[in-house]
Order: sequence, then structure tokens, then C-alpha cells
Amino acid sequence: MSDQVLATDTLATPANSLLDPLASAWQQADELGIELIPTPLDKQPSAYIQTSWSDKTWGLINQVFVKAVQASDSLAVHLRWRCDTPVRNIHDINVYADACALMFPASSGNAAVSSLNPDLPQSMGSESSPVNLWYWRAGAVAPLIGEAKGIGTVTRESDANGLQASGLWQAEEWQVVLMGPMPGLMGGDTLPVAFAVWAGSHAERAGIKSFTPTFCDLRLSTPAGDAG
Amino acid sequence: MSSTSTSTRHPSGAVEAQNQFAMVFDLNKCLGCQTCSIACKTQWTRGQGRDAMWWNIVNTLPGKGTPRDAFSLGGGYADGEPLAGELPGRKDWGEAWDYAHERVFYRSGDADTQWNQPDNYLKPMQRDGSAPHWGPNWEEDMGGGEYPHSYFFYLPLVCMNCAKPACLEACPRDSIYRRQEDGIVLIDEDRCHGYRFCMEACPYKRIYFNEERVIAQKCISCYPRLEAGVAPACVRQCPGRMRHVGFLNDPESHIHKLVNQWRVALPLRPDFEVAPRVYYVPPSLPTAFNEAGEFDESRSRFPIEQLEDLFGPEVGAALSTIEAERQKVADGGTSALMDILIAHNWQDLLGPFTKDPGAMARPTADKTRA
Repeated sequence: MSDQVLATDTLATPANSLLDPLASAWQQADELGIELIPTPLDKQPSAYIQTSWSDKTWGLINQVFVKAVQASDSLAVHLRWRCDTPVRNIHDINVYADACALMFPASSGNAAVSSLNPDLPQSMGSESSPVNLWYWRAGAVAPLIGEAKGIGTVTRESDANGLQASGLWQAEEWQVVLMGPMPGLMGGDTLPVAFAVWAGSHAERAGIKSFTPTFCDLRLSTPAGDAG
Repeated sequence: MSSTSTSTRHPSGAVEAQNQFAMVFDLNKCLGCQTCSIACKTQWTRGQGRDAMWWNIVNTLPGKGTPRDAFSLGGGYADGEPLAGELPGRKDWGEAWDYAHERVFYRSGDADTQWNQPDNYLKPMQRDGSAPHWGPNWEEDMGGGEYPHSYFFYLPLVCMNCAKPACLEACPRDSIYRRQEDGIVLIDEDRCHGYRFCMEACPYKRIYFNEERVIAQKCISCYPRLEAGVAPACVRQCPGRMRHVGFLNDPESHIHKLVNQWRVALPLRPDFEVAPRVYYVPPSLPTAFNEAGEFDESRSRFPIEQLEDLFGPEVGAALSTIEAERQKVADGGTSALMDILIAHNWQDLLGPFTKDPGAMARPTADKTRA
């Protein structure tokens, strides 16, 4: 999975229109299918979760389709996954909403996937290698930016710091755009990113989810007209 | 409500506390008046997504409790292993019903139309406009048995401040901690992400979900009051004088004497294996009737097996102790146990928390709050 490459395009469109998952700009972008697997049970950080989920299955969503675009100092990522029974918000005490997240190594920049600890997505980062997170949940007022240094250590920023998101469910699939500041990206750079998706209809939340156990290599294509 | 207290969490789930704040509820004196529930609600659960929460509730037993089937929804432990729990939906917890006060009290119109409407009463309505079919203490006073053999008692419930808290162990983020200074178990609202594993894991189903903030919340043992030397609101306001508070490890406390010395204060559902620190003096209920309709003083109207299910095998001995001590006084003697339980002096119920809440420093009044 680590040698899957997500080609990104630099498109001459106003940044905000990219928030619309149906925007024409997205129709022109290359899309890649990413396989997702359930998180391992033995890494769930409480005996209660390990016991209560031992006879259940999770990781309902086994594939996500991704497009990524760089615009100004922002990165916009479009995710699409099949979902027959959407949960659009937390409308009851025992209801869990659909959600997705992106994980970036905190010290990404020009880091190549091969130089990263391959266990980072499985361990949610580490003390020496924290990860940044962009998190979208259906029905939530705003997306969340977070950081993690290991399983169970996610801290969410109170300020979204420019991260925006938009989600749309139609034709039995979710389409979600996450767009946030990611300065310093240039054509030819690679950006490691891992993915997670939660199927709310199956009570998935926290570490009970579908994910990519390793980073995917997001390579930015050279912008048109770039003299550098 | 985060705290700077350090927490100790052992892999086994058992945590250490230097002192143990504990409570004893005397079920012989609970009136089921719900003053405690309202004291708590007035203090903590108005607005901000907490309207439907009853951090303190009093249910009639036998009964399904709050939420419906509360003690049959799993959680806790069996032979040391965590048990999976279920979470019911909002309607089985009980919503914060709307009573259409405006329409009932202020509807305009002439006398004929105003008072002849079929819905001219405080009709509870759920969020979707439908009538409720469950709520807190829904089965009040129904109890068990058939008249004249009917039986019931009132069971108040708060956070048990368990010494082996299933909620703390269940949380994958360590958002629940136990305070070293007094063993009080608290949810760190800054850490909580609303996963609700704790709610499944609590066998007493005492943790609530705040849908507005997407976090779990529960009784906090009025810890800001305790830190100021003031007893919890439910304790101070109980007109039945049935709530004792103090430290379990203080040999002079009512708690220690009732739990460890007299052994009349028992944990609720010890089979949950969470070592709760709220104890109950079991109710000495009316005697049974025999076939001829006469009192059969050899047995209680409340089946002893049901009391054993609730309070464990020691309940019979606890009831015998209470009865023997009561008889001493009836025969003209004295009983230190009866003196404790009667609580001639109300302040004695409060343990070391005897300060008046009126003397507490208060935040600036927020006049914008309803």
C-alpha cells in the first residue's frame, strides 16, 4: 500500500469552490482507490473494548476513493466511500455518526514515506513522531484538527485553524472534502497521508474503524506555468 | 470539569486512593420524595445539554429503573472480566419532556373554548411530539406483589465512586480518573470525545450523554462543595435524613461504623464486582400476611431472595442486626446503631462536611442564564 501514489493537480480555481464535493474542479482530478482494513482488536486500549467487540465485526468500509488538490497554501482532499445506511448526525444516545479522518506525520514537509516509521498509522503516532489529524464527522458544526502521540492520546484543537470541510451523501455514497492550510507544498513533493473511516451504522467510533495501516504517498504534480 | 488531581490507574483496574469518600443511604427512611433529585438538578443539570440528565434519581423497586432495565444492560465485571454493556436510546432514558405550559396557563380565548379542550393539562411530550412511554422513575410506587401482599421500597442512585470503576477502565482515552485524595471518580470533560464506552460499562447506568457537547457526564459527588467543606446537595437537602457521608477509612465516621463495624450498610449488586463506595442499609419492610390474613412475623413481605439479589448474602444478617437494636430501644434500652440511623442531630449525617453552602464563595451571577 505504501507504493500507491495519489497524483494531485494544481488547478486554477478559486479555493472555496473546492469545498463543494460536486465542484467541477473535482471531476477533473485523478482519483485513486485505497483499500481499508479493520483496526486490530488487540490494539484497542481497554479490556472492555477488546472484550465487548471480540464477537463483532467492524471496518465495514473497505475502500475509499481519494482525490487531492493543492490550491494556494492549502491542501484539499476529496474522499468518497460507499455507504448504504448513512448516519448523518448523532441524533440519539446510542447513535454514532459517520466520520472520516486524514493523518499526516507532524514533521512531513518533504519526508518520504520510506523514511517514516511504518507503524505510525497503527499506533496513532508516537512520542518522537507525532501525527496531525484532520477529522470530519457527519452533522458536526465544524471539522477538527488534532494531534496524537500514540493510541488514546489524540488532543483536539479548540480552533480549527482554517480547516474546512463539507460532506454530502447521495446515491449511496458519502463525498467529503477536507481543506486546510498546508503551506510549503510544491510540485514534485510527496506528502504521506493515512486514512480512517467510521461507519456510524455499526457503532464504529474511537479505535473501532477502517483504516490504512501504513501511509500512502501523495505526490504533487508540477503546477502549470511554474518557473521553479 | 477537569481537575489537576493526579490519577492512578493500574492495569488491573484497581486504583489507589489515600482516603475514600463514601455515602450510606438508609432505605428505611427514604420517602421517595425526590428532593435529592431536584437538589441535584437545580445545582448541576439545567441547560447546556443536561436537561434530560438525572445524576441523582430515586427508583421504586422492584422495577425496571432508569433507564429501562438499567441493571440488566450489562457492564461491570464477572469473575474479573469486563462484561459488554448495551446503551438504550433517549426514549428509554427519558427525555426532558415539554409540558406546553404556555398553552395550558396562557392560552387566550373565551371561557367555553378555553376550558373544554381535551389537551388542557400539562401533558408531557417528547421531542418528536409523541407521548412518552418511559422516563425516570417511571414505575413509581408500582412495586411487586398483589394486594394485600404488595411490597416495594425506594432506591436512590448516584455515582457509586467505585474502587474498581468499570467506566474508568473502559475509556480508551483515559478520560476518567479517580482522585487520590478521596477516591472520587470523575470524567475529564476536556478529554472526553463522547465514545460512550463508559456508559456501556457502568453496570448501574449512572453515566449520561450530553448530545449537545458530545461528551459523557455524571454525578460528580458535588466535589467543589466537598473541597469547601460543604456536603453534597442531595445529602443536605434530604428531608428523610437518610444520607450519611464521610470517609470510609475514618474510624469515627458513620460510614465506617455502619459498613465495617455494624455491617448493616451493604453494596448494591456486589455481583457487578466494581466495589462501589455508596452503601445501603436494607429496608426492614412490613411483615408478610398468612393465609388467614394475619401477620406472619416470621418473614418479610419483601421476598428475602430479591433482597439477597440486590444486596448480597449478608442482607439477612444486616436486617437481623437492625431489628435486634430496634428492639433494645423498644424495651427501654439504648442503641448506638439506632442513634446513628435516627440522626437526632442532623449535622451528624454530614461527616466532616458541615459548612453552610451559603458561606461558599460564589461566581458572579450570570443574569443572562434562564
